[in-house]
Amino acid sequence: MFIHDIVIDLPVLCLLDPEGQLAEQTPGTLRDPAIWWRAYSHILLARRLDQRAFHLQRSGQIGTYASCFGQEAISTAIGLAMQADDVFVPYYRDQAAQLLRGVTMAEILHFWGGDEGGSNFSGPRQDLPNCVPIATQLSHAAGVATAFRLRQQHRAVLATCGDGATSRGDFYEALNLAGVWHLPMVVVINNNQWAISVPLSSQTACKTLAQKAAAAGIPGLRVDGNDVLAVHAVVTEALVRARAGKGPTLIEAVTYRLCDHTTADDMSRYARPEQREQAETLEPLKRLRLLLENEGQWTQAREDELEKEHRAVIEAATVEWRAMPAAHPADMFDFLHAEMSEDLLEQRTAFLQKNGEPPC
Amino acid sequence: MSIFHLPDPGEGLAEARIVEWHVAAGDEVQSEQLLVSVETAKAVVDIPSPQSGRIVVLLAAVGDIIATHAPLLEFAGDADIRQGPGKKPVAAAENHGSRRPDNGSVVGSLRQADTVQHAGFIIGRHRHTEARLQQTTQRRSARSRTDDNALFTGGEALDMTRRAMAENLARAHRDVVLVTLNSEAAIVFEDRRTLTARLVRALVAAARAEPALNAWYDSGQQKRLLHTTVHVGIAVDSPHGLFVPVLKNAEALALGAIARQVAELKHTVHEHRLGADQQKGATLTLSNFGALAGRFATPLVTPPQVAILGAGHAWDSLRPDGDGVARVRLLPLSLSFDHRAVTGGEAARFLDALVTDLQQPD
Amino acid sequence: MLISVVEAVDLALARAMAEDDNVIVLGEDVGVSGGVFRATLGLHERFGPRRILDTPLAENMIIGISVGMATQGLRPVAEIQFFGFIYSALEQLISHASRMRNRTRGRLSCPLTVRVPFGGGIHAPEHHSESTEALLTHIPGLKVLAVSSPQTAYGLLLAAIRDPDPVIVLEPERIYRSLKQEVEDNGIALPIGRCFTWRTGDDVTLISWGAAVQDCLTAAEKLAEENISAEVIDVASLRPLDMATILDSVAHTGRCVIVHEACRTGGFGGEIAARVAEAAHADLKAPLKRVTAPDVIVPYFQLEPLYPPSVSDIIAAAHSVMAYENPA
Repeated sequence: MFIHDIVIDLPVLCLLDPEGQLAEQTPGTLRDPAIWWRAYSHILLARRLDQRAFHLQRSGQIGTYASCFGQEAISTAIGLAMQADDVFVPYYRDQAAQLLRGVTMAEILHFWGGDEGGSNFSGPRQDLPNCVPIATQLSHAAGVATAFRLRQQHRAVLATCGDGATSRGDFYEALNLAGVWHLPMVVVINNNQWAISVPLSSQTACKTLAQKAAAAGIPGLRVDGNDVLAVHAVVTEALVRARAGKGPTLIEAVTYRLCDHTTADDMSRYARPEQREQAETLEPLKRLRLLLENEGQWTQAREDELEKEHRAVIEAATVEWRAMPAAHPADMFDFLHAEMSEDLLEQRTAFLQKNGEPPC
Repeated sequence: MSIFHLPDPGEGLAEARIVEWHVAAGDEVQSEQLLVSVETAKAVVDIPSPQSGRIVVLLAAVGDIIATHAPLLEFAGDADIRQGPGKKPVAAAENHGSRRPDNGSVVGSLRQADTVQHAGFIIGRHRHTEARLQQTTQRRSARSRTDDNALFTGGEALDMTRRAMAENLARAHRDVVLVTLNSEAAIVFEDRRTLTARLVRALVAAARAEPALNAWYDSGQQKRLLHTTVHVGIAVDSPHGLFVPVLKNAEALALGAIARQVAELKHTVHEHRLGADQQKGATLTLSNFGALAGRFATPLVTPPQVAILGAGHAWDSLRPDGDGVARVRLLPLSLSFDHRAVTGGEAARFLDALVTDLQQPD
Repeated sequence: MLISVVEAVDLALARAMAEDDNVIVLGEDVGVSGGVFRATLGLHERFGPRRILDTPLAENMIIGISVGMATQGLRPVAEIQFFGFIYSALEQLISHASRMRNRTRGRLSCPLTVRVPFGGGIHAPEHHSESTEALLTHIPGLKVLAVSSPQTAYGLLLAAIRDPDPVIVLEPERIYRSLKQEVEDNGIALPIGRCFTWRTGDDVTLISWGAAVQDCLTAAEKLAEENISAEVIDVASLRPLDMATILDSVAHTGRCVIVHEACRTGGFGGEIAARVAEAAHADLKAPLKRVTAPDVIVPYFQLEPLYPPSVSDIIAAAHSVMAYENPA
């Protein structure tokens, strides 16, 4: 008689519905066709790059690749909302955001093509690289935010993670710290309903992921992850709050993974096709296209021009990537420490000799 | 009887002064009941009872300064009070209101300083001091296994090549019955550089004429193997030591090919790249020591071979020619053979054929 | 001044923090309380809550945020309260701290220091007496140092904090307060990657780190009474390892005894033994010996005194290698 379920009801914010209609509460700043085209164009670009990467993997030119198909709106909104001196801490499905942050397409292919050099971003020098050990990047983000706070800088950190990550220790530990230290940190969960083959219903008893913010004593909210405008609105607001010293926010962006977990996975083994079909009707590009059409902004000519531009950019990036120098065996040794110990130098020399390389 | 001793108050404090007794002889006390307050250098500490029981007698008086682990009081009965190093009583509970000295650790107790070290230390390698370096070298060389039989102290251990030479030739000298036959060939070929190649060809010719010297002999089995092929081991002196690469199938090669192979083998030796298989299988050995200096010699035969040809330094001489004299260039030859397997006659015939071939113009 | 290990740690931290505003000390109870061993005593008062951070209770998070802070150019000095609690942080140490420089090809790096009391001998509760440092010495990209005295505590900690890469500093609990040395607060760091020779000798080399170095010195004193001259080497820098000093010593004495508190199998002594065997086989007059704890879990304090190698164990090992007759 003393124990009751806790009921937390968090509505999913949506501004642009699947039919391309804007909600009344859509702020004026988001009623700008320029923004719609920007978002539309970028999601399309990201999707095309994603397809190129997928084909490269299937043809054996790059390694295992994590597609972002169907989830580009979240990343795109993040990339558009962040400022240059914010820091982005991704997991591994944010190609769309990375592009907007200034990571080049060639660098993205270089990384997935198996070379750590792809994480040596020429653009955003302080963004963290893709992170494989699940949720561990959230602690790093908390550390970056701590640095901002200690130095009293008006900058924010935005970290992403998947729904599976919310089960892991680092997720709770980082959010808890963000709460108690009032860190300028925004965590965006890409809730695409799947952690490889484990559906959300097997991942947690929580009805929502955003409610986990309550455990950290911070604000949490849900947003339609297929609605680039809504995600943009809440991410922007969260970043402004963070930079202004008002603390962290947890954002759960609800979407669906329209691709396999990675190219090494086969979703048909565990997912029902009807779910995917249903999800496809909700995917982000469709509703943006409807919006543009409804508002008389879309033309076939513009679409064709976009395609031409995208193909050219992706082609150029592929050429650039292919022209990048191959990884050198010495790279394995040269970046372990600022200065190599004698022991390591000996090993390096012997190793290079063995591999027929001159000891450079 | 069971004695309760003054517990270690921690922080390495070695003694305490009795401040106040809270019990008296004859009292029945409960476990954890306050027994006595003592003063250490840092603070006043309350000591609780480790057990329930009757106190027989107090063993220290107010004002006494007693050492850690000294007896405090005696309980009636034989209860074993667990005390002693590693068997400390449980720390006084907070709710007794005692003030524990700050141990600077939430767990366990830290040993306080009982040693003061004034030592410094050497960073990294210290054999750079002359004295130490000499010592180490001496100690290392003194560590040799044949210590007791050393003929002299000091010196350097032989490298592998020299060691092999010493061992192999000692054995050869011990086993082989060596006879050396000398002669000279009047050579007319102009090109001094092809000397080694001519010598190899001459050996082939000699082996054809007298196969007994192109053979292997096994003294243990008392058998010998006459070869039809001629594999010539060519002694090469190099900075890395003496090596004997083998020129295979010399009987099948024209002079030009022989010269090329000789050059290649010499090159391989000088590059220190000679493989083990390139040093095996010689049926005859050639030592062209004359390239350096010397005329006649007594070269050693290395079993299982039975012959070795040494060629000395060619020199110009005069010899009678009709009524006058003619210049002649003479190549001194020393043919050693193992008389256990080869007769004098066989050796002479071999040498004769050798000289004949060498004296050909080309 | 004559100070203990824990005071030397405090001194080095204060010096490092005064020198460089980017040095931030963080961990559980390090601030207001001055640390459960008082290793950070006075720092909070002197430098304030922006330089000394009392963190919530989550070791993995402590190291995780240190990684993030380090990528922003801060120099976090994290305390893990006891080695037994570092295990949850191994993921952040091994998967991230050790690799940040490598996997961004130098774009980001991780100038992080982790201070952690290790080893037993203070009658602590369970889990507080671990010496499984071999878990860390195996990891490329990490540097692992072991303190053996107040002087090396001061010098190595300064070196660790100034090093641009992640360094773990192991501080032996057993000698935190039990010995004092003259340490000058001169800001001079000791080199990383060098062994320290505390006592030169001719007959046998005793190699160890942490509190065991003190036991080796005690053993050496006793051995000297029997005219056995022992050389005592403090490895100090487990990774990167200074084999040159060790091999020189073995060449000199011809006898090698490796002592560590960690249990035998997989202990770091095996690595040193392998390298000595590889490079100095001809120098050894007797097979080398390891003196270690047995392959058991560190016992609770009733049996704990039996666990680590004792001075008499070390002396026995020295006797054994001295007495060895080469059958050849």
